[in-house]
Amino acid sequence: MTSYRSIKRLKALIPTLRERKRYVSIKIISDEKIEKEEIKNALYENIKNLYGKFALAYLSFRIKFDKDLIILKCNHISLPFIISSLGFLKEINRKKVIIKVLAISGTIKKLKLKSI
Amino acid sequence: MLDAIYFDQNIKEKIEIAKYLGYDELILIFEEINFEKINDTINKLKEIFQMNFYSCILVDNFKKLRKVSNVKAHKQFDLLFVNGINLKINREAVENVFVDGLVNPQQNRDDAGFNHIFAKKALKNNVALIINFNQILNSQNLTREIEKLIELIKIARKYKLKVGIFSFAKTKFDLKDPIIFSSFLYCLGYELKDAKRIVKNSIKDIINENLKKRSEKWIFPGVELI
Repeated sequence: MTSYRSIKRLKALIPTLRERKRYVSIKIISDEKIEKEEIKNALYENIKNLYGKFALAYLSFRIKFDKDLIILKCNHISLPFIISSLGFLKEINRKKVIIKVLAISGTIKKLKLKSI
Repeated sequence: MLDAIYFDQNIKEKIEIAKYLGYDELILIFEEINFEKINDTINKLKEIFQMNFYSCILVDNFKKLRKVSNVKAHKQFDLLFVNGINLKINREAVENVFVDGLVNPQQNRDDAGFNHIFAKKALKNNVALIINFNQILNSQNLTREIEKLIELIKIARKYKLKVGIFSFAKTKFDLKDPIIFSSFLYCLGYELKDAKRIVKNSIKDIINENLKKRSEKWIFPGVELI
């Protein structure tokens, strides 16, 4: 019997089927301290409220934290929709916020360079 | 990049945040008509922040509009915006030569408050369509508001109207990154190229023309001392 762990990873998709990714680094300015989990929940809820669950699935939206940077991952088609949704985020857990988009890139490596 | 913010007591705080977000020029919106005070504050802020500031008067009734829509008064400020609170004032705004922008004509209405007839008049009188993002954000029915905006954008694209999108920030938290505005315009139906152009220098032509008008040599549209 083969265990789940012994199964090898799936072979990578061919380039034509593979999704083109975009990474957006943002900075959240607020008078109070905001936890990472609060940011994650607020961003997901904001997009869900604006576009709905089905669209959220289409956007292939993920959030990553890298030291001070907040990195949003999505596919290249949905990039404007992700960025415009940031404008509708007024507060996180009743703490008022301003969002600044630092950089947009296709790879995390370049994104970090651009965000400095 | 150009943004419009309300002038109030927290103006310095707002300007600093706007500078950080990447704006290099700001339109300051005044609701009170006191030309001396407006020009003084603009000059003081220019000295402090080393930025370009433009004065703008926002009117929402006929009485105020009549007071400022004449050659003598128009030389005292840079821009004149009309808040589109009802259909009558929307019509008056697009027919008035002195008006530079009509702000959110869809306010308090079920429809866009702006049609092809208004668009033709606006194009003739060089009146831009201004989107107040803060008001849309705080509206009770966001879905309906966005629906009306899509209709407005459709008309504006068809008649090649000048469009501007500004935050109209009352507090520092109302300020938005310029890239958010360009993405929002793309979502509403603009091409990405046009959306970026609108955010970068949407009503710059109108401002430059109005700055010319403020000189003593300018008499009336088409009449100038050489």
